[in-house]
Amino acid sequence: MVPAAFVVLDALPLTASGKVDRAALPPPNRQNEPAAEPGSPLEERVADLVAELLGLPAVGVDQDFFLLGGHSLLGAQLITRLRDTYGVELTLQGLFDHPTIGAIAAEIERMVVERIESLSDDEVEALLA
Amino acid sequence: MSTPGHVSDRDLSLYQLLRPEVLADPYPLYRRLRTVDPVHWDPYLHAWVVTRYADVVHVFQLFSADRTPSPEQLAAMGMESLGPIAAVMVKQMLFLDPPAHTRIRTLAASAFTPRRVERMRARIEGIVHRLLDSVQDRGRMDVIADLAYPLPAIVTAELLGIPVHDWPTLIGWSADFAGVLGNFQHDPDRTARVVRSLDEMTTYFREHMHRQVREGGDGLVHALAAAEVDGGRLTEDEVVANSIITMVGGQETTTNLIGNGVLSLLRHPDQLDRLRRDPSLIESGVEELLRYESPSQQTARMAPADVDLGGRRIKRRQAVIAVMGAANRDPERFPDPDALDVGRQNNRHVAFAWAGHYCFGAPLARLEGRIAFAALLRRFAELRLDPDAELTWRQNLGLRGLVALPVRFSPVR
Repeated sequence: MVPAAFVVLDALPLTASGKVDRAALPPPNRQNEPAAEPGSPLEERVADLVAELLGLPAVGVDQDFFLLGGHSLLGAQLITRLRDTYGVELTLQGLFDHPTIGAIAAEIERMVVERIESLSDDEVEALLA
Repeated sequence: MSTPGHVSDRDLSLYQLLRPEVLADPYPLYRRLRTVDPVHWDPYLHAWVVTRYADVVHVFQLFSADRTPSPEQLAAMGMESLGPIAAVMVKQMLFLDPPAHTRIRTLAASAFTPRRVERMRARIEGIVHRLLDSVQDRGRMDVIADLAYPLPAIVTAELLGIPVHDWPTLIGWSADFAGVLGNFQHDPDRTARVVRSLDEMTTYFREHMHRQVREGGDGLVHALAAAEVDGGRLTEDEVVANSIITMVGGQETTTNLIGNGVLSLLRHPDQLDRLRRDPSLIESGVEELLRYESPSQQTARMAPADVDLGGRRIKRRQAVIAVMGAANRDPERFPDPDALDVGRQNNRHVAFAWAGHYCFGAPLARLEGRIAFAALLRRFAELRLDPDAELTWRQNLGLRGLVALPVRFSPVR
């Protein structure tokens, strides 16, 4: 039984009878855990985008967009910006299924590769011309 | 926050409704929420999700409905594009607390008293029979397009006092606005269309308001514009915003009551037969169909203060989603809740919400439902799902309804 998370409190919440009020304990804020730094340039770009949207100084590659404070309206903004930047169409469900910076970057990469593979030789040449 | 029973927050999140298979049958998700964590903090939604009947009623009684971000708040989040939508919503009674709520609601509700609604019975029967006349020789129909959409659209137009022949336009506008109301997901591609359609609706209702004030009339638009409440009148913007929400509220939910109701009956042929054989069950039958596949599955409220609910501490101004679709299947309140029983007694469901924001259109919705189901069962025998039909639920997480419901039948001569 090793705790998965620790939360430092100024004081324990108490019930009327003076016992620790477990229901009133705050959830562990996992976003305060040390974050792994982004590795690839794509991860860095995604991390910068998310940090900017959420008004955070920096976010780590394993951090979850929603648990960092991203809600559906911000998610829609993120999806729009990713589409403008990379030309890929991530959905809100896609974001929910792949919510970390690393997973978002991997999804973008997968979709970009998929699109390139679907191009005919002529289309590729037209793009490169 | 971890939850008992090794069910993750991800499994319990209402975001799961984005999956088509969960949207098609959300009840296992609701049951999981109700049994594992009935007052659940959804960290993905940043909101509490409440699924037990007693708790949902409690939220309706005590929590605030004032929950729409203002255009200024949206702009601060970088979402100016949504400003025009929010500017209308903040004036709508759906999103107001007393006393602002009380004065607008009292006015609008006066058009929906059981007595006034009862006077529309013959008119509604006429519309239903005309709609069924036009499909009966085909032996097949799409319940949504041929009945569930036009009936409430025509009735709502008459009630508002706007030209009845405009009903196809009203359907399009309502669907656009309902996309915003029923969804917590936000589709940037939809925003431009909704803003445009809201602009058209506003212009339309403003013109009709001026015309009705000039020429007189007994429509709701006129009643809202002419009424004096507490010595003051509603502003033009308030009249327009609340005409729009009455139009949307009158259509979307009634459409889903008819569509979901017919589907539930087709899925329970014994109950369909029972209702056909015993028309005196129509009233309890409609209540049961409302409970079983509620047209409006969830709605949001804000905590008015720090509140303890179900052993959890909800902080002031935190968002709470009351899931009526789950409360209506709570075994603590409804014995054998997943069974459809058109004769069910003591069926006080929360499909129309509860307390101050209880749907004032309920008497009209009930009447439209009773007339539509009764006529359909009386006139069309061997009603069955079209074998070629593939059921698709509209991508609206709160307003539950089918895209189409193709059925076959043999007309009773």
